[in-house]
Amino acid sequence: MIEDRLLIWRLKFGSTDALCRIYKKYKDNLLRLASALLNDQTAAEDIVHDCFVSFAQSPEKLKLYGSLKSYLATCVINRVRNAKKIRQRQETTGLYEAESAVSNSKRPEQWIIDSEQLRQLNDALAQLPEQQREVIILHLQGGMKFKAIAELQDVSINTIQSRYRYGLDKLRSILDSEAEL
Amino acid sequence: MRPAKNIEKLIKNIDIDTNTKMDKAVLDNVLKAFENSKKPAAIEPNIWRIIMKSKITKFAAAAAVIIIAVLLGLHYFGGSIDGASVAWADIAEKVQKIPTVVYKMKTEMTGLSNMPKDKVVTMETVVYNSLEFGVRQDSVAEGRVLSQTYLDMPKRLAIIVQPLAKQYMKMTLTDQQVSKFGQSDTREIIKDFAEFGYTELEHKNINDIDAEGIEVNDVRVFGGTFETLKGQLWVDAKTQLPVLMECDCTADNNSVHTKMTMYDFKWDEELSKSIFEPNIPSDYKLAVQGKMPDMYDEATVFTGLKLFAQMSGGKYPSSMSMMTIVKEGGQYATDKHAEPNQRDMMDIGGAAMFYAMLVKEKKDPAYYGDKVVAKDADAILMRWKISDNEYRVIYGDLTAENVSTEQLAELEATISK
Repeated sequence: MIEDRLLIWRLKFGSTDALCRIYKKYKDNLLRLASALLNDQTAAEDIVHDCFVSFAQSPEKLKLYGSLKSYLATCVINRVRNAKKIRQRQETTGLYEAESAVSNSKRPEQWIIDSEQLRQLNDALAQLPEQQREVIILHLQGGMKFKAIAELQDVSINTIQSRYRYGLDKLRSILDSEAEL
Repeated sequence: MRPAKNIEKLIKNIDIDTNTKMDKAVLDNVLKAFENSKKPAAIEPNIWRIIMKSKITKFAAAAAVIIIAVLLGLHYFGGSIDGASVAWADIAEKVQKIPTVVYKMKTEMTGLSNMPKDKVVTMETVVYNSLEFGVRQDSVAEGRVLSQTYLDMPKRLAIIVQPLAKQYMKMTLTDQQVSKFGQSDTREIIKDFAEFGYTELEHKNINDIDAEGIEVNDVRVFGGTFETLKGQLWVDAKTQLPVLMECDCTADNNSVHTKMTMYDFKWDEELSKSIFEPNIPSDYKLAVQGKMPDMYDEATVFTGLKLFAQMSGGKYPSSMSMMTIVKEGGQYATDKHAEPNQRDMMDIGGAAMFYAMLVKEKKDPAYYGDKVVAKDADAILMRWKISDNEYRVIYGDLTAENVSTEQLAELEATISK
């Protein structure tokens, strides 16, 4: 926490070094988060890229009320939600299929190098209801507290805890059934 | 069936690999966006850029950094608390036991040599202090990191990184310096405030904290660096820990004005070792290497005054106030087209610091640089008390000896004529 406060302070004074440190410290975490929320590596990479670019564009406006980690995680979540809305619109108009086929094909340069473990887990998470998946990912990968997630999803903390518990049970049964196969 | 804990652990520990080439490309885009965000600000006049282009103001800039060191460093000198109320003595004692503190300091200076009269030179410093790992100070002005100072106690090293000049200084510390620097400045400030006499202030609300404060006006708190001083220290009435310190000081007949605010105190913060480890880019030049000048030794005065006299053609600073040295030194540097290096600046500043220490330690110091020059071999230039009836005296030719109180009176009678 204290290191982050220093980094933000230096960033506001124009320190490039501070920005590099923030980027290196959180990019993997954010990539995991976006990838798990979207189950689409290419889209996840674009979102994390855009988050950092946006973050770097206006450091003077940055106001942290919690941790930097939570702040960046929230940026990713908001962009993921927007991306999903766009995707839904495209699906209804029949555009998404073609777009998705393109984005899932390997590009010449890809940020995330495939991790089998990540892929398996993302596939299992993708089978969970949207709200349960988000709670699990935000809590376990984004490091966000239930209270913060409750504020983000605009529901009570009890609902968040229930979603987390049900989601975890379902995930366990999915992974166990895969292991039996 | 997997236990829930295992699933949680699995998700938490999932790892990814990233492509380095792509990683660099993304970072480049981020940095480009960051550089573009700075452009509108670049239209604003950057006072520090002006400072670094001018010989005289380079001197002032270097001095400004030293002034900060002086203001912070003076409090490394210990001293007992005489006459403080029990409450404030208790606060001083309490904070000295706290292992870490982080705070910010804003310094605003006007009236520096050859600067526009009303131009405020602002510097922000964040200070990390750990009794275990040492001290780190990052000073920033107008978007640029001016200096990063690291005092690595275990390795007995002082490292000062100066990004604008792409250089750094590396100095070894003696055991005595380690023990003095190891004490936290902020903790000592409270002791100093209490020691030099204070008035208690009415309670005040600071960021929703009920704070109680004291005010000091005795210029000896900063060793006579300034001619007037209004220093206020505020502590949280509940926790009894400092929350704000403000100092408003003037020097050189009110022409130099310094305002210093220490704020955003975080007491007993968890500080990782990495904060105190210098990160020096490989293309930075090692500008100074050697031993840290000992500010507590009269040899510092000889070195500093000798360098000043060489620069000025035989004259000494008219007073041992840091502000005067900065102003007069800057003027001589311009006249002689000289450009004192960082090491010289530290030594000259060290002389002022030694004098300030004598003032603080109430050793009855006096200085006659306004009347005595280098060729006045037998004239008294400076003196201070070393025992009840003995004084140490430095003459115009920078020789020194111990004299009795009576002999001192005779020497000073000559100088006043």
